[in-house]
Amino acid sequence: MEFLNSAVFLIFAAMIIFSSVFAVFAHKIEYSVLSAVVCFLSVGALFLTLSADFIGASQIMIYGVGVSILLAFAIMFTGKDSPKSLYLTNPLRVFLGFVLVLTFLSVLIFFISPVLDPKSDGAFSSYGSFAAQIESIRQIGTAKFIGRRIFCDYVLPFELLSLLLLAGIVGVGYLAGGSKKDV
Amino acid sequence: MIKALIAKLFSYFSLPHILVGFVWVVFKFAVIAAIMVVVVLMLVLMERRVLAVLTIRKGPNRVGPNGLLQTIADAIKLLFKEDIVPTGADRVLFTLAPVLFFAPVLVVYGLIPFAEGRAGIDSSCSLLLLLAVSSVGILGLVSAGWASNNKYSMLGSMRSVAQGISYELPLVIAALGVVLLSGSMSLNEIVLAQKNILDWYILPSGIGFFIFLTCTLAELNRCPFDLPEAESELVGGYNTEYSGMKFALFFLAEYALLFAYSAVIATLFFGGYTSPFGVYAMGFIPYLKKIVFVEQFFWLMLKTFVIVYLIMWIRATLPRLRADQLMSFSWKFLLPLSFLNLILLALLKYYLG
Repeated sequence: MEFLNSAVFLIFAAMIIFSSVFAVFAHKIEYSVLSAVVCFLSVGALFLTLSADFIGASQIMIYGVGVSILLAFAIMFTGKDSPKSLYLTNPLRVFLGFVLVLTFLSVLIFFISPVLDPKSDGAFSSYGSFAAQIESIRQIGTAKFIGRRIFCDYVLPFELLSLLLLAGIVGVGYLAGGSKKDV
Repeated sequence: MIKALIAKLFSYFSLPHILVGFVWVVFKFAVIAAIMVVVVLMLVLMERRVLAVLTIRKGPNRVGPNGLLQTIADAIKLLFKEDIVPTGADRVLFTLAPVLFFAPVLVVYGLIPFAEGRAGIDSSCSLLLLLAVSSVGILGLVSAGWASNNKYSMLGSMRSVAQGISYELPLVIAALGVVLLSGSMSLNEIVLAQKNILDWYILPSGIGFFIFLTCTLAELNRCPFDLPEAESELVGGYNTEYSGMKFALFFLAEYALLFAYSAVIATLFFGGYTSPFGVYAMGFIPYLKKIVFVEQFFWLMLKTFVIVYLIMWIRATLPRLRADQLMSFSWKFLLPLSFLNLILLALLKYYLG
């Protein structure tokens, strides 16, 4: 099963890379949106292959459905006459983008490489064998564990987050209800 | 059992053992796809016959014995129809949209536990995963409406998507009530928490069942919420420009989802695959004990088809809502009611354990 898992992982990893590259270079903006959605869904699937079911399901629900439908709505209703390529026309932008990507990549490698090294005492090696890791992750994925973590250990960030959502709701209410005076 | 058989076959023909897992996954997929196709063929006929009975007509009764082959005849007709792509349409998306709508349904079938420990995908968050995956199909509607390059398709898909999104919220919160009661997001464990008829979650969470059923009707675009594709009043919905096999795929996915949602209702509120009496008849017979999953499958099917019948009954009974009624019903009535249900269940759980 380990072999199959890593094969599926690699397939989805490849899909993430291809779909995000396609999202940048696609000649129609609708294709860009849909390939970005494929990228979101593949990230969710990556979490699922690593037994992080809750994060995977949340990723699919929030990014794969919520955000992507907003994106699709916004672009499909407004973007009929959108310019073919938004970003790749300006050489300065291309150059800055490459610099940013290289910086990000080097930072990522700098932080990840000690963890992946089996000799170092990084985060992974302390959990023991692969099966034990999977078992501990399974424990983390249950509703009870997540609920306890969110509402006991991390209650302050959670409440801050709900404050943000409340601000969003109030803003939407203002935007939607405010136009009545004009009519 | 079957996995061991596959492993034995592999070692008999001295094939690489590493592929056993792969063949097992393909086998599971094939079984689930077969269940889905058979169920859809049955449902289409059932819908027509049930509606005929409820409206005092005869229904299809000419093709095959008692009209049983009617759906197959219809499917063959659709297969041989011309596959038209409109001139201004976006060819790639137009072809991809039915697939985008159909593929998540298969995953949903994989997540339903058909018998104890016999779900295609075993996950500790299968309920959340199911709700997430089942709403991915909405993207197929958006792209179908846009790719058709037809304003009626576009408006139709907009109606469907707006309705789907609005009714998603009460649906998820009603399901959350069951998660609260059982303390688990795994469908298998939710089923195991309601082992006989007195433990069924419909008893504490009757409001939740009502909300879930209503939202299911809306998500499936069925009566009384079928105004996105009200064929007697509007140009059809997102599928206006579709014909032949692509149209059939939308049709198939809708019926498959009807069954899937009914199975989820049976799982969440009516004890899923468990017997209502708390014991299995096959459990008493020594030789049949090993295949008690057949009886569990039977119970799930029975409960699911009762709910499917209920949904068809509603279709034959209730008139269609108006568009503004539809939205205010979801946001002003169902959503507050689902929050109230959640709070009541939390109090119930806290005080009665």
